[in-house]
Amino acid sequence: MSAVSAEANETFAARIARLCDAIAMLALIVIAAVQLWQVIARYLLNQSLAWSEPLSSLLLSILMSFAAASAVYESRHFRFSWLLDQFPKTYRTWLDRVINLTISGACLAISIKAATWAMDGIAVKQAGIALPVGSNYVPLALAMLLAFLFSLVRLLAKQQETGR
Amino acid sequence: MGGWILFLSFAVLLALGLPVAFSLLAASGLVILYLDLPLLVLAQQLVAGSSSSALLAIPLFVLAGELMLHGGLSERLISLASSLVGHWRGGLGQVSVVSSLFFGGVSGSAIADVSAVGGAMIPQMHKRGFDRDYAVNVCMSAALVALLVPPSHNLILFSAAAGGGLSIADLFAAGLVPALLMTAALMLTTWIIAVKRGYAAEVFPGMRQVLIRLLAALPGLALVALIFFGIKAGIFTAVESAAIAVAYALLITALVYRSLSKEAFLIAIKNASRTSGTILFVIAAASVFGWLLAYLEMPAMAVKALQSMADTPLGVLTMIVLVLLALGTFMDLAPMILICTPIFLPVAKAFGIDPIHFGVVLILAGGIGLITPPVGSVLFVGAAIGQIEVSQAVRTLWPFWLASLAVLALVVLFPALSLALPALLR
Repeated sequence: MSAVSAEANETFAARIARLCDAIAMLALIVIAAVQLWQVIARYLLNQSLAWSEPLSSLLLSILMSFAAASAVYESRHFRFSWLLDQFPKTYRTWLDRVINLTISGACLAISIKAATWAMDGIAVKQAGIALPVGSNYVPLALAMLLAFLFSLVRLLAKQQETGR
Repeated sequence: MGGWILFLSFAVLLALGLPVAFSLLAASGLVILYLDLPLLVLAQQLVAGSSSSALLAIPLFVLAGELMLHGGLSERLISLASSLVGHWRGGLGQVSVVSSLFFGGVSGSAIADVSAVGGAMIPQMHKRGFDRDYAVNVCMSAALVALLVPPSHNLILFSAAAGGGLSIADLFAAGLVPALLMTAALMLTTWIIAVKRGYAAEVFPGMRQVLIRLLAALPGLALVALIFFGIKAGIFTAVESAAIAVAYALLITALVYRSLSKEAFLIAIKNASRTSGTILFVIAAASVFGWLLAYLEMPAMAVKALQSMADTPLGVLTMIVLVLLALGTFMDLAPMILICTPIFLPVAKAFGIDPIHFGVVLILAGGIGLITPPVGSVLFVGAAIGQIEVSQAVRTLWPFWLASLAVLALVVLFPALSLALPALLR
């Protein structure tokens, strides 16, 4: 792959990662709003909202999945790199590739399995909210697919760096 | 055999630099394949692990802390602490410790604490003639206090990892006395080192200034009281109190302090979603790992193994603490809570140790790991803020580390330190 196309991939991936961040931020704002509305409804209007819990769980899944995907792009996941840093540069490069490939593999496997659950639960209705049970798996399936692509982009970018 | 594969693959992947969440997932995936279970379990447990309603409190408390941090509360808390203890020997060092106690109550996070208090105090301390290593070490060790003061999200995490059956209000109350003990121990250490190195104190600004600064910081401090007494009195659930904390933080910073700009609001939301998202992903990954631990009956094996090695509650708790301190040197606190709770809590219960006491010990021991080399995340954040090498900070960290360890020993030896207040408030 040429240096120009690798750079273009990275720029495009950066935009998608920013979009993932924006989705996670929006999910967090809506969680806060839903929970606050739940408090108001319970204490002031004397009614409990049946939809607030399943909706908040779905939003929590959106927040987690998309924040985790953007963290793959920016290498923000908690990690222990002390031992890795002790290796000579050649080994570090190879280990870095193995790490990125493992992340890619894990994200792809999770994405496929979550998509399977989503399809299986598409006809099953959830209690308290007019959404199918399968919808709970959609954010994870989508975000892990993006995380898979992010880790590949990182792998290609690193390859390009070492080739230069 | 499955257990060995699980732990060994996890340890090797973690050591090679794979992120914690992916190490947990990859190790779990390997064992699922080895046991010939369907890989669908991985996605199912990931979603189940992240959709517990108790976890909703975590992103909301993190958001409330970020709003307070970016909305000008940290400056007011530091100013109050400065007027209260700045004139003691060690001056700004004492201010850092007391500020951490105040700010910990707002953020509940050691990293947020060292970033907020350390970010403001370390440069100031250096300007006033304090050595950088001292400034960094005071702020880093003081950040441990935040782990124990409500609304510590680590205590909520422990409650979730324990199966959600433990009262969050009791856990919050249980952390208060150890947090005050830790503050006192660190203030004493700060004082001793200040005397030894000849650091000066600040001038006492007078009672009028103390009152003015107290009034300015009061709305922020009231948040802690609102959360604590709201949950304790059974008025709100932990999640509801977290939502109220967000609304309150917005109200105070935007309308009362008028210091929350649109940019600061967006930064607060971005930081909170990033922090809580990555924590939640580790929680979800650890729930797959925890499910496998239960499937392989590892907690029962741990009970048997420890029963053969120790026969008193104190002996068992000491052994667990040693394991936690060792794990803390290379593992972050959240994954440690999530992995160790399902293994060690049944052991503690089997020996008659109160789960609330165990939770405080677990978080304190894991928290000390945050300032212990080689990995301690607070250690890295503190050193980066202080612009010194980690090794430079570590060389003179030991008095603070020993003081924290002494507090841990007291909490282990005297369960009443963590259990008396929840019992009194019940």
